[in-house]
Amino acid sequence: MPLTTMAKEFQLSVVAPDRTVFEDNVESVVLPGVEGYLGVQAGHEATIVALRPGIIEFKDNGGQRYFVSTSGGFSEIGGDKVIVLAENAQRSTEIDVAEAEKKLEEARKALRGEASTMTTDEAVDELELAQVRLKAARLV
Amino acid sequence: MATLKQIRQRIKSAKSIRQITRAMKLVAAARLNRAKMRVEEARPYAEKMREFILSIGGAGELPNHPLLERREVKKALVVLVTSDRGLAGSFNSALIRKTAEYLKNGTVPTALACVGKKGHQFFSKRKYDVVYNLSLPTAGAGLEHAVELANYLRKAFETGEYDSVHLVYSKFYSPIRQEPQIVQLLPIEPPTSAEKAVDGPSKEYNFEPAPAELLGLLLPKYLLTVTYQALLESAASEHGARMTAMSNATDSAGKMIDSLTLTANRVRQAGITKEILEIVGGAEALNG
Repeated sequence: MPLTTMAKEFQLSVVAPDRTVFEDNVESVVLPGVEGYLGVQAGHEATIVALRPGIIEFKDNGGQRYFVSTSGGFSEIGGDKVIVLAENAQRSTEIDVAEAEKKLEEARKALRGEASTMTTDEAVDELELAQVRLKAARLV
Repeated sequence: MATLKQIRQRIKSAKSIRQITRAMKLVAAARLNRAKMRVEEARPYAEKMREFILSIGGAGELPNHPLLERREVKKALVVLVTSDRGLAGSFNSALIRKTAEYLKNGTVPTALACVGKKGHQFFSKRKYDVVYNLSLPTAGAGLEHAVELANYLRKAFETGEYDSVHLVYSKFYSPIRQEPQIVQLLPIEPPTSAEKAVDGPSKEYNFEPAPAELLGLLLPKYLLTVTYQALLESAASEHGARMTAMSNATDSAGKMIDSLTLTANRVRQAGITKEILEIVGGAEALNG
């Protein structure tokens, strides 16, 4: 019997610096930790973890999957709730694909050494974020 | 005594002033609502951030980090957050007064960084050393502005250019109450665990990566959060102050119109009475 069908729910809050992206009960969540992906279900050991750019994936009790792209952040995992502080967090349904593609192209140009207002570090961050967003948008 | 024509002219200008101040009040009210919403939306993140740092601190002493480093203060920096526009009552002047007072009482050489035009104008006119100036768009401070400011402050502190950074901004309590505040930004004062007692006993956490490394990632974000929060509060305060100021101005214009109308009516009545007297006088003269 798959474990997920009997998993208990817990509260998940995904907050960006300027808004709350998601807040509700979920069954499981997968976080892009700096030391690898982390799957979390109710009753997980208390952990504080730093996140790298990637996709936060979670599932509600109806089995519906959601995706949130982020450029990194932190997460506090407690027994009955998980808090994610995510920079540049966007729900996959909110992502503007055209804009992300434009950003990706700009970042690539900057990295190729073409004239750009971005520094290399900024370009790398932009590139990563745009890639993550495009990936999340495809997952919807 | 002013002629009837002059008084009517003044009533007309008072009316157009009232129209403008009323419009400004409505605009400020709308902006205030938006600004308040943004303060509230940003609050959960800021609160969680504090809790995180507390949780890490709870695992023992906070590890060393450049942003926590306390040095002997040889040169200090003050960041003054004002608005770009005036007509907001005593909003800007209260902030400027507080800053000027602080600078006067300071014992070490202090440089000034300004966010918003008003503070910059005031201090640069007085030949003060303004080392950094950030102008905000009319739509209000965005996260990117906070990022810019926080990065600048961090660099200035880490390179040892300044040994402490304080922030002067207006804290928002209500549309009619804002207060200038001075807070220390750098070195970061870790939130004290006294506030934590409310949260109940602290849990034992696993850390990934190790606490010291985690803190290195967290602290710059914490600085950013505090900065962002201050910019948002300042925006809300500005709109609140402007709304109150414009509301008062509208009321005063109304009172002025009332009293001018009364005077105008009296002058008109006096004129009519005088004319009647003249006619009656003339008729009497003819009859006599």
